[in-house]
Amino acid sequence: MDWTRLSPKARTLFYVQAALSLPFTRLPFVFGVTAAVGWSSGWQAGLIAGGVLIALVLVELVWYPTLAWERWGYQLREGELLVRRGVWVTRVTAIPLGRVQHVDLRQGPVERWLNLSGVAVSTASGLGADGVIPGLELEDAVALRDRLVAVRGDAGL
Amino acid sequence: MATPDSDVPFRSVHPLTVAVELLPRVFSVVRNFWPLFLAAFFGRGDAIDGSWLFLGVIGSAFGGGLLSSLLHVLTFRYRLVGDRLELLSGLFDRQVRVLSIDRIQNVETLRTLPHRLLGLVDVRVETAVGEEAEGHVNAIPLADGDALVAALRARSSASLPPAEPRIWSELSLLDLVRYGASTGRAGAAAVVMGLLFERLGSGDSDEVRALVGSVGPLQVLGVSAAALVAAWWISIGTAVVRFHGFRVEDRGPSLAAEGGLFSRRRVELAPRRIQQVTVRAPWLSRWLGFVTVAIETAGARTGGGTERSEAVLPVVERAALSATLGRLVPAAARVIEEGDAGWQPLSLRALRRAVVRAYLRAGLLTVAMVFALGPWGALAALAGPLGHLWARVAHARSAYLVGEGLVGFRSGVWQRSVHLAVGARVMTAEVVAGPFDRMRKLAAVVVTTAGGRIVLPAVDAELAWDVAERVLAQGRGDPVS
Repeated sequence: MDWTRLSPKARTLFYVQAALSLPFTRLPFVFGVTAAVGWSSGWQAGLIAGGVLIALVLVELVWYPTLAWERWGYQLREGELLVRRGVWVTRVTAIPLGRVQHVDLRQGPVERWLNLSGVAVSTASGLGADGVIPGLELEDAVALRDRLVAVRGDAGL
Repeated sequence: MATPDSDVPFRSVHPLTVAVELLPRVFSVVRNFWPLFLAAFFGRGDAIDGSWLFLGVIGSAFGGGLLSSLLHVLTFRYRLVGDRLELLSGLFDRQVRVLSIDRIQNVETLRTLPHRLLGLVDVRVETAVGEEAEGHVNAIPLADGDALVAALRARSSASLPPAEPRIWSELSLLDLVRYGASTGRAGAAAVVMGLLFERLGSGDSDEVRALVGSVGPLQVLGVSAAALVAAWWISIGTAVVRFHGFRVEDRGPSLAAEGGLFSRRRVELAPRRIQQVTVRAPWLSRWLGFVTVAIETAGARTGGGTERSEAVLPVVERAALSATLGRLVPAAARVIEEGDAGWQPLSLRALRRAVVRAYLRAGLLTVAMVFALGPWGALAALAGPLGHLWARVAHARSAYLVGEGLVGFRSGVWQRSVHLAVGARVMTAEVVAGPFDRMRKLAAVVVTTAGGRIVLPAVDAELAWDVAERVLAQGRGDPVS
């Protein structure tokens, strides 16, 4: 299958997002484990545990965004939109175009700075956006949005 | 805010709505500010006269609930104009919600005990948007509610031939006892055991120690049996309260299911809008000769008393299952009648994975038991072959179906279930593979409709995309091999 990749600038977006989320996701866990091990088994053990975890977090920070960028892609076929993503858990989602209820363009501050935009496609499944494609060039995102909303079809209700 | 047909008058809700709405709204306030209530309850002390503080917080919740109810009565208006229902609400933020009647998935009426005492009814109108009922007309007089439902029904099925209502299904008290006895009792057993521990915990510690010391195996067995029986009674009681007087009327284009001892809930749904049906058959219900059928449309999935399924037929006799499904989703009836035809087994790799896991678990358990009990602990190794046998039986029972205009998955050994989604309603198909799945070359195909999702687990990875394509072909109406 011939997949359309995200913008190369999306790699920068993923790195920035990963770095910004560190204080709220990985670091509290690292500090918690370090403190718990240090309290129960002495400060040397705590430092070793903390060091190992920080090394793992750094490896993830360097490796994950690039891999995520490589795995993400989409394909607009005649009747469906296919979205591929995932590093640990890989997913390929197929959305029949006739089922599309609405399409959102999403731009956070970092995306605006990079002139990128995400496209979120929703059906009536009631599960939020069924297909999300981040990090497209703004003009590509607008063109994709316009093609998706132009399709008419049975909503499946 | 004005609406185009301003000559049709808006109707308001009954003034007694304040009484009916007060308690739910107070609970809503408490739910939204629960940390404050917890802090006020546990933090009360003599130093700042904490009991008064706690009472003040509770009083504020009641005041907030009362004010909210009053505002609702004063500001909420509704009217039916042509092919749309218009709802006006809000004091400062005025909202006009217009619901197109041809988009309505279900109409539900609810009469709790206060509603019944005051002659009122709640009418909830669900479209496919969001997770709650979009149109909620609270506590209007029963006659107005009946008129509104009748008008909605007439306009939504105007293009379909009308039919004389007839009772399609009706359950006796004995049916509900059978249903209650067969439903899961784990939750009820937990409640009973929790009450028991609470009772023990509140006793004198020496007495409790003496009591626990004197308990032998027979007493443990007796207490367990008593807890099970009590849990059984709780399940039966819950079923009777929820479904008392249950009956389904067939009105031609729509079905109306109604039931409940204290709160009467009535839901009207059109079979042509059904997205999924699930047939559940726990071992006891199979033994008693019935199954339970849950129906999903694209209506609200949570909140508003609708819980997960739009309608549940608690007791469907095995002999009547095919006819029942035939009325709901004709293709489902064919699938049930044809037995195993068309069903595909899950991957053999999944069976191998389950067997390996069974022996690994048994090995770990055996090591732990030998350490704890000595040589007799080696008997735990028997868990391996037993797990192996269980995995084979579970694998043989599990299968998926893509064809006949349906997507289905069946599973379970004791608690059997068959999930069937209407192929023409499929919203998305997704192939998902975690790292352990990829090691075994397995994947899951997740199929979403507006009524929920069906997961076809453990499909061979090389076949998964083909299965997803066949699912999508059902939605397009393409012929499926």
